[in-house]
Amino acid sequence: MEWYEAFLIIMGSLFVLMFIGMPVAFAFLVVNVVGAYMFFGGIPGMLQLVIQVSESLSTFTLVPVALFLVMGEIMFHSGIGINLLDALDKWFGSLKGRLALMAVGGGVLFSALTGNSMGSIALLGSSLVPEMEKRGYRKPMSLGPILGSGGLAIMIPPSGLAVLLGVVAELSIGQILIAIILPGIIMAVLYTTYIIGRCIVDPDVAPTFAVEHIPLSEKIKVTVTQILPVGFIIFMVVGVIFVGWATPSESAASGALATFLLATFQGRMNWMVFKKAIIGSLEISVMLLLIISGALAFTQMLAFTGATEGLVNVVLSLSSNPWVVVGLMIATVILLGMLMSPVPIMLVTLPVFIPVVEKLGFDPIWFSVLYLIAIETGSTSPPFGAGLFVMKGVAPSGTTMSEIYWAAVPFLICDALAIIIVMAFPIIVAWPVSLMF
Amino acid sequence: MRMLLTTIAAWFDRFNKFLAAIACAMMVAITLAICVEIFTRTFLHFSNPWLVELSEITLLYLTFLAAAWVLGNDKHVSIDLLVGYMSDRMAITTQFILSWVAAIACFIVCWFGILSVIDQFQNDIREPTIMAPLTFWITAVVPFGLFLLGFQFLRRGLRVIAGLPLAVEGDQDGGHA
Repeated sequence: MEWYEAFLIIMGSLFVLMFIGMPVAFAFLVVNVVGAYMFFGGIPGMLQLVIQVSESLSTFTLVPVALFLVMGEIMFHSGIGINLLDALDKWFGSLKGRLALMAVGGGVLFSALTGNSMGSIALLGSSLVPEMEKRGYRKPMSLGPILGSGGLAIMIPPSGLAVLLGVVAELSIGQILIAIILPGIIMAVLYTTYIIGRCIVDPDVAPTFAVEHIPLSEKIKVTVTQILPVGFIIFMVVGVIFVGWATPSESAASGALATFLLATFQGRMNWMVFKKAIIGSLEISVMLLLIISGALAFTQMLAFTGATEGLVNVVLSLSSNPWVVVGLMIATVILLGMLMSPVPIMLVTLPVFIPVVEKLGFDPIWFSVLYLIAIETGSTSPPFGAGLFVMKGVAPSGTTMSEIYWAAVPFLICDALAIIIVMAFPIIVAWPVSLMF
Repeated sequence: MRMLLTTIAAWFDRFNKFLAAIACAMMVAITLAICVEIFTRTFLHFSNPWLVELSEITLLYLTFLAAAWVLGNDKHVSIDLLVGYMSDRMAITTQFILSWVAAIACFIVCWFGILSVIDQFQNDIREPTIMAPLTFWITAVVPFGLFLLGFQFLRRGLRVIAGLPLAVEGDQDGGHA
């Protein structure tokens, strides 16, 4: 059988099963069962599949997938997130577009704490949008900043998707986590610039309103009691990698413990919060780990049938200009993001894209950063980006999908700019990585 | 007959909840074990490499112990891109077929998992690692978890036909259907 015939059978069945509603993990399992029998020599192939499933999950690099979730869930259920937002609120005074800017600030902080973009969008959307509507903010300035900044969770450590990328692409998770920091900050700056610019050009989009004067002593007090302690969590996730105390996989555990300790210290931890956090993270971890195990076996099957090599050659032959090839791959990720959720996209495309990038001579860590920005862009892109539906779920009743789509557009343009900036200046990615111990 | 099935389902749910509780405890244990390892290595200058190995095995165990419980809660992510365009009848039929196809796949891999475990047990195969555990103890959780998943999928298919929600918790009979 030619590689493209095998590819069409394998990929075609996978997409059909996924699109008609079979849970993703089990769509992979069904295709793997049929594929192992067809391509791996019958019964020996089936036995091999069992070993692959077992080996793919008993690996230390997957530990952060579960433990970053523990961290985010403790943050969410203990109310540390909401408290942070209140503390930030005291600093913004009567700035033009203050609530939209708060959405960006909150998005960056939540990203650094939860690593979950959908959770971030839900939290910011449910807490800020009602207030924005009450203050007369128009939809582009109430929904858009939250969609943009919520997605930053992909681009700021601890990013669950960055860890997954490292596992699937077999790249250094530590380097990816450090490499995404500056691009994530650049995206936040682009969002802020857009918000301020738009508020100057079109003040009606975010009317200014009188806010209660907060004395400086009060601002300092909330900073010391609410914002600074969060630095402890950030240090326990990113700092410990930087100073060489822990590997990226281990830093997820220190981050989870730090979050637990902070919640306990602030009197927010009790048995119910702890139970909800652990159960919530277990549910998502199991779902993700099963998908990963199926996808890794699937990847091996693609390689065994020659489909990976065949596809790599096809992609390489698309253009003699390597930059065009990279651009096409990034565009593909964004397009897929409009239709599918990030995890399946990563599992299906990375096994082909990473070898292409390596053959073209680019730094795979640099490409990973571009890839993650593209994933973030896709997940808030119309018509089916997952973030748009999370926003629909938490937006005030009467908000139409069309309003959400239009609100997202300026921030998608900011994402595109971020991709261009990172492509043009790879030093943004390479420099922080070079500082690592 | 209905009563018997309801009783079996009730016990199945209790068993899955028990396994999920063990998986939760494992997750907490991994977190603490890794933190202890970071602390002792950085500040006391001695390392426990077996903790890493134990965490790896625990990760596999917690996934397969809790997988059927997660499916029972309908928390496995799916892409329902085309489901919205189907008629109710077609959507139900599709869900039923998909559930039973998934159940068959789970039972097939479960069967070959059992064969693998028997082979590893008979040949006394050990992992080439520091702890050098018997491999069959590690592999055994895969067929065990897949058997529970297969059973949960069969039940899921029947629930779709009966017009019950996919998540077993929260419906009128307490989910035991």
